[in-house]
Amino acid sequence: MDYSGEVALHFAAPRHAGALPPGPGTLVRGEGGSLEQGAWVVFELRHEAARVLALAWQAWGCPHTIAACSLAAGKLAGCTRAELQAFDALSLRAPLDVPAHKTGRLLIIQDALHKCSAAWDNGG
Amino acid sequence: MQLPVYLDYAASTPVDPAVAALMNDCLGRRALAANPAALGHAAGRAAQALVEKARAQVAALVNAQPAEIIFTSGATESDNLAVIGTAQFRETRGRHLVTALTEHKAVIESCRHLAARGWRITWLRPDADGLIAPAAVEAALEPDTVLVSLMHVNNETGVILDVGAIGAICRRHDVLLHVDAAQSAGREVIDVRAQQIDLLSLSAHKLYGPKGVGALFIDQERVRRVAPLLFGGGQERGLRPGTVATHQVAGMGEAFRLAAERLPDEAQHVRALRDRLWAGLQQLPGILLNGHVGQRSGHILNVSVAGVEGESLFYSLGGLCVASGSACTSLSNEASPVLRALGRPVALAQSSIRFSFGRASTAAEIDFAVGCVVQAVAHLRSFSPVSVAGG
Repeated sequence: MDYSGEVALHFAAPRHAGALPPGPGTLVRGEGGSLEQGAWVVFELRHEAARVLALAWQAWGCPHTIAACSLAAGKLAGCTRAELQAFDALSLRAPLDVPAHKTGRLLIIQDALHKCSAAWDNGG
Repeated sequence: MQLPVYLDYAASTPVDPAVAALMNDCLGRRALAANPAALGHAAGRAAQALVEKARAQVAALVNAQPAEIIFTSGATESDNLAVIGTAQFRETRGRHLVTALTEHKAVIESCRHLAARGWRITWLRPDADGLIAPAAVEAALEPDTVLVSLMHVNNETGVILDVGAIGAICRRHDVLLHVDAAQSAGREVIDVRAQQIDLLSLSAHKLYGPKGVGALFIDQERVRRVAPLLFGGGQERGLRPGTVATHQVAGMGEAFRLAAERLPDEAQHVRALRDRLWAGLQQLPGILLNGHVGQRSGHILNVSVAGVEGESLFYSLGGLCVASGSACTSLSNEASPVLRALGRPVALAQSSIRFSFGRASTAAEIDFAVGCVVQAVAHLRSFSPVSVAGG
């Protein structure tokens, strides 16, 4: 499979990848997918005063999944609660040239982010 | 060292220079341009002599008689002809076949073709090491079994089946044995008489010969005939009609002659490389060998890597030409059915890498491959949510 240059860049140097180090703010966590589904994504973020202070992700998935997590994290770093809630992972499809049969991977990322958002709403 | 490093010899091998020179000669000399079936003139007879020389060279590698070798377009066609041709020709004797879940698709799809037309197929499942015990083959035989079709060396794991013991069982029960030897010919010793093999599929391009040509050994006494799948002229005893491609066949003959000459040295060479690679990769936590640790051919090493996804792993190994256990580069995202049959979970079957070595492989290439894999796995695990013991 051919991957776009953008995917190659994010895959080689993913942003905000790995475990979230300790720090200030309230921690929330959300995950989507599973090994059986072919992609497993975990997002963690700490927030304070309705804004994301720090975030990180972990992923087991194809290069498109990893690049999409990296791009999403880059866009969401420092965002507001409202921006997180409004984030649409399918918007990553065009910049990363994600093929149609891999749209489901983006929805897995969306699931993980929705769970973060829901946990934040629930006081997490 | 030339990049990318080619470690996919089980998929195909580069044509040996001596083979290429001979083929070039065949193509360039007008005297050899004739149809080898045109025996009415000298040019035709010269071409036929080349074909017959090649037939003898192919036969010699597996201790067959030249008249028992039928040239085909490759091992896939040989497998089709062996399985479907035998089943159809012996239909009145029975409609049951025995094969394994770990066979090449050429055998599996041939069996499925027959199953759709009323034949019964027993699919043997290998043990966790990829082996099929001869006793399991015997237990699968039924009164109307006409053919057992099994691979000598598995193309994914490199595991070697004891075809000699299976051959003895088949003889005792008067059942024919077909062996796909695409991976083993020229790498392991094959003796169709001693191992009691009735049909044997061979490929040229797996053995430094050209693509597009293969052969099927058909035991003259035991099998005699199979039903042809193609119809036309009477070439290749009427079993494989069509003008014989002189240059392809001559190239296969020369490749097999060279393989016979070099077999012991090359077997030792690839075994040493395989062991060097495995020793190097074992520094990685969560690396698993697929296939039996001892009963396997020297030219293949198949490993699974825990905690990383197959497509990303494969993508990370851009400096290497290796085979992935995942079909995820296609639309299916299907994990290797062979590794699944060994009981590997989907994730591990998908994160497998098959390395295969050959004549031109070097220790420096192996060391480079180890470095590539270690670096790729470290990168992927640095952000993987899957925990690996010791990783």
